[in-house]
Amino acid sequence: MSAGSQRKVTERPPTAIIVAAVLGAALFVLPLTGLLWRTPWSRLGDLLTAEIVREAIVISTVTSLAAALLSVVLGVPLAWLLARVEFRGRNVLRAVVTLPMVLPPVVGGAALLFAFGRRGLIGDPVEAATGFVLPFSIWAVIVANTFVAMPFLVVTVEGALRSLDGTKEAAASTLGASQLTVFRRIVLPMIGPSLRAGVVLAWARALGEFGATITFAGNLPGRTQSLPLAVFVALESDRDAAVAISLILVVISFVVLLAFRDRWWSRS
Amino acid sequence: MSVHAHFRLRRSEEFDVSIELDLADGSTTALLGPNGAGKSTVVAALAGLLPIDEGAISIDGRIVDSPSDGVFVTPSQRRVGVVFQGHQLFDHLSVADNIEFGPRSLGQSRAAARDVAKLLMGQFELEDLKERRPSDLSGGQAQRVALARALAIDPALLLLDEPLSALDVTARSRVRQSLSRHLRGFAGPRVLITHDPTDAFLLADQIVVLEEGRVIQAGSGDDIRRHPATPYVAALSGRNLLHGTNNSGALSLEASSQSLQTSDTAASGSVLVSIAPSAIALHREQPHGSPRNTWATTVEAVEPLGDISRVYLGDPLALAADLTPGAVTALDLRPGANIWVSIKATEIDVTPV
Repeated sequence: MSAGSQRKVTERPPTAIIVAAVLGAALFVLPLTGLLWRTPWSRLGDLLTAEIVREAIVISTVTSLAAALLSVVLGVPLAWLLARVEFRGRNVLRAVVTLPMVLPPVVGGAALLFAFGRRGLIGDPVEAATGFVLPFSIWAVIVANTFVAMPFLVVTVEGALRSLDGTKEAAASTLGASQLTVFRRIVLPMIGPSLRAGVVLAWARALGEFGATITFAGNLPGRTQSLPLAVFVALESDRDAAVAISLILVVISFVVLLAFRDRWWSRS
Repeated sequence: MSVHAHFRLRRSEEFDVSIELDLADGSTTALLGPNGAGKSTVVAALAGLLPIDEGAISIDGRIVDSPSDGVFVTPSQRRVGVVFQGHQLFDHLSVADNIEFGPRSLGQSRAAARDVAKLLMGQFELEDLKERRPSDLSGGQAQRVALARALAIDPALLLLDEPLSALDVTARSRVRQSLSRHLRGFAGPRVLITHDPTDAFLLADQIVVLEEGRVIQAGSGDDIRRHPATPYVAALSGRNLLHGTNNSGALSLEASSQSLQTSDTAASGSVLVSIAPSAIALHREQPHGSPRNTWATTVEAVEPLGDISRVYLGDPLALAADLTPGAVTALDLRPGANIWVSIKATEIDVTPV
């Protein structure tokens, strides 16, 4: 505190703050401890190789990766539009795009049904024309996952795009680069770290998705039952299996958070 | 004229830039002015990064921006080479890829782009750095890459926005010399944006002084120094600049038989001598004491410039000296008056050229 002094004096933090902080931390540490305490370590191998769990692992892996990919393909252009093009209703569109981040996923799933369900706004004519029915298929899981996950990528990438001051892009355009070339060769590499973080965030969100999936895609083992849905079902029938599957999800999430910790919090 | 531009560009309610420029092939025009004068706005307008509101810009006989004709050529179609402030190199690309970026973007084959880059890297002594990333370059090296990258598109016009401002004092004069050499190698018109009169006088054939979005004065460096239109220009361009040769502190000048002594003995050989008008002392009688640079001369003219009066001195060495109006009266300075000049050796700056 005192300027010019080399001496460091650390004051003891106030007791009230310490107590509240410890209680806060306990809220996160205790459930995790409970999960580890309850884990049937000796049967873990058998539980995780049961057919229903193996199928859920495959479904979760495929659908979360597909959702992450779809989020990049559609979300990056969307983020660019929101960051760089001025148009009427841009703020409204941005609010709509980020809505799934705060909306209860069940509501999102219901909304998806009203749009893409058999009697939905789009679903009805599409079924009449092609016979294709989206809900209750693995495609529906991917759509539901993308719906909840893509906003994370859009928000991350849009923020990164806004932080660029445009001079490198100007430089590239004077060198003869079209807007598309500027985007591909200059902007994308510059926002690379944020894009990677956005992809991982979106993927992690998709992996944990439950509400929108169960509403829009159902809970069909081997077809639409992802890991979170499998946990929910197993809690009723086989508690050990539920714990084992939960453990997988915890480990994956934890590893991802640790790996990308620096990207998310120490930058910017 | 290879580039003709007369336009008005509104940046905000309060600030607009209004300018007329004629740029000849093979000439360097300096846009000189303080920060916020609108210099970068002119660069942006010429490069197509900002559309003009009124007037027209033509490059090589082609109209590239004219609101009344509904013409606007985008930056990527204009072929205006720009060396941006802070260089703006692409950090994720190597030096060679930075230079190849332009030709590749213009649709040249990889091989053709590589040939262009190779030629330029030879010219700009960048071969040893071609694999490097911009973050691993010195200021001078980065500037050579930025210049090579701008020239790789074979531009019709070359713009340099404060190319020397990012450099420290020691690198500045060295980089300025290499820049001067490379600018001469470009056949089209060159525009140099700077707030530093020394850069403008050393690198440009024509100087356009810009303040608050308006041209205050235009002409050669000597014109502007000898006949400043406003106190601002006088202060900006007031330094006495002379070409000469430094030999361990003994300066022989190109334009005069009068020799000078400088305390700077390190910068030897061909130099630019710079003396602030405020550093020149005038006396009725021959002064005694320390100044080694003392001679008798006559007053040619006295011009009031706001708070100061600028006194122009005649043979043997034409210099401008700034005095207070009180001192002018006390010394009875009038055209034709005989007067003694003295300048301390420490007040005579030299820059290698």
